[in-house]
Amino acid sequence: MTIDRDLDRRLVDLFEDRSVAVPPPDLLARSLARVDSTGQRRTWRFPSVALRGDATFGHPLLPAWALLVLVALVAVALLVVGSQIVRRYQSVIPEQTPPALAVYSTPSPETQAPIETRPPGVPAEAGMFATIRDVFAAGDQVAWVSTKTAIYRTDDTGKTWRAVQPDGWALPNDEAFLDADTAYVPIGTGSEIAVTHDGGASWSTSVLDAGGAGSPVFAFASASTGYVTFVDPSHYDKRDGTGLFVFGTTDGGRTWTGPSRGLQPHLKASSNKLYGAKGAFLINSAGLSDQYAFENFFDLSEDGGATYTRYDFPVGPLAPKKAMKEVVAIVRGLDGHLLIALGVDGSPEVVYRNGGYPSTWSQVDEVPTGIAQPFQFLSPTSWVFTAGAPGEILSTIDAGAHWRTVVPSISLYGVQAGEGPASWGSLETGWGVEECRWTLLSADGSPGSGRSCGDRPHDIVLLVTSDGGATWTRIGS
Amino acid sequence: MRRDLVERARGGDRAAFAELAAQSIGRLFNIAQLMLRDRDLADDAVQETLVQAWRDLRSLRDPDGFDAWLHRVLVRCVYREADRERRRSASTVQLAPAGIDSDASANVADRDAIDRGFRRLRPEHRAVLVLHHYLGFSDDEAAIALAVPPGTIKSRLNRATSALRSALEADARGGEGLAMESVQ
Repeated sequence: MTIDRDLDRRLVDLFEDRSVAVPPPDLLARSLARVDSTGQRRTWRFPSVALRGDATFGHPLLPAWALLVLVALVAVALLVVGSQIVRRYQSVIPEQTPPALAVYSTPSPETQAPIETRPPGVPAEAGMFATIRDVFAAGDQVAWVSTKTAIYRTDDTGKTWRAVQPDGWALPNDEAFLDADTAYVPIGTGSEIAVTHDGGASWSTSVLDAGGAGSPVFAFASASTGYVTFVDPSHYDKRDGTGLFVFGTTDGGRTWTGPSRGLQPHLKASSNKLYGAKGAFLINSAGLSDQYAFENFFDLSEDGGATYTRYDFPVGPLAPKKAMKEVVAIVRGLDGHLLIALGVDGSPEVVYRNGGYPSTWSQVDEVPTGIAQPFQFLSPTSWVFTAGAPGEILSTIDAGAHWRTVVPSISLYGVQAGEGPASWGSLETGWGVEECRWTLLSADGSPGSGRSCGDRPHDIVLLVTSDGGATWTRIGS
Repeated sequence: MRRDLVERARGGDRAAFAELAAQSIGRLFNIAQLMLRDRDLADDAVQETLVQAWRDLRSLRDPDGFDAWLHRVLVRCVYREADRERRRSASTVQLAPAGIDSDASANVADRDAIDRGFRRLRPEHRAVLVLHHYLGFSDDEAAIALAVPPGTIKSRLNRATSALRSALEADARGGEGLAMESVQ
């Protein structure tokens, strides 16, 4: 097998092989149920008359073309007058838009037994993490894992697990795991928020009035203080931006204030409007498309999207101006300045420090050149990242002044061990996600055989290390 | 008949739209799953496509262009789902060879490799490859579905193929000579 074989033919084979999917039997019914609750947008159409000026349309003394010109003039006049009215109205908006902040209490009692009375955790079964969505490590022993069927938690570095999701938990909402004990989870249609402060032993819930919106994003600075943000479906991806409903809490979700109304700036080359926070930060940045040039800036919010500050992306030898960039990780340093790990299209990630102004960045000199895989700030001074093939794990406890390098016993090619579907809880304990697969090539290019784990094409297992990445254990294989 | 259904649905006839949805849902789901490589995401994308199609159907001027227009709505919804999933997508581990296997295993492995490479592509590249190689769209048809000029389809196909080839090469390099040790 060589990779130079007819690529087009192989693609066709793949599509034919994988195109026998039958939609879920209830998909049509679920879709139509949503259609039933959706109205059709009214559109205005120009009358389909030809500009002939014949006597069958318009006044005998006023031909059709003249009538249409007249209509157009009136429309322009109305637009001019209307825009003046809108400007006046907009000048009034600031006095009207901040709605009275509602305070939502926590009405629901605990729904599960205290942790001490629950059955002990059990070892992971084969395939338990096949539909993994997220891993969050909290220290050396605790980790939360969400899959498409359950939320699991371990407090012994993966030896045993409990399913801890609250009643009513459902996809496709995102969760926020904040520390070993605290998690925020949308339930129901997504505007109801369940919170645990005891590792999932008990949950309390609050219903937030987000105008019918679901799928919230959590941006938390600590386990008790943060924001939950919903996209306003009636103001999605408009020219002036995307409307947001923002609720805040300072007491761990017992009470919420809001909604305050945010407006996420509109970006041309981006279809993602709000899809996850990095800690306390919401980031809005454009990608690259064929129609639009790359926009060399990103918008940053630290108040759940209520307000944004626009920053220029760093530019330098490792971050060319026209290269697509992405903030991979972000943290506020001890000096109050931002640190970002910048992903640059086709190049390694680079760490930059902000100088206090939106366009002032300096490259952190001590960072080894060639960071190649997801980067994680454990704190402003402790950083860790996993390099790709052949695979090394680099970490620092002094903001990059000195680095430790660990060579793992297995190749971590492709394993994500930073943000995303994997996580480091400390410099010693880290979690990765491995997709089981066929071995492919031997050194001489001939086909290999056997599987790494599992027996289905895309089984997924967890990897965990407790020695900084030197050795790894598979879980759920 | 189909034109009649579209016109009735455009006029607010919910039953007509349900009929159109029933006729289209299998194809929509197949396309979405090929582009997203995930049943749940495809499910979400198709739901959103049908909701948006119903909501915006009155903006469709030519009833005969319903299918092309629906593809465009679907692609937009696929992009959105891909964005949501992007940060979560699990990647792969390259393992060492364990010996020589049969041609059948090699074919499976080859298809797995193509599949992995395909998953690493940007959503725009996946979309154009599916439209071109699975649906057999011409450049003009793909241009309508993706809402880009026809010339862009050619360049995007080239870039998608190059990106796929690069992903395959990287995949192959990662596997050469690596020793997989037991971690149990």
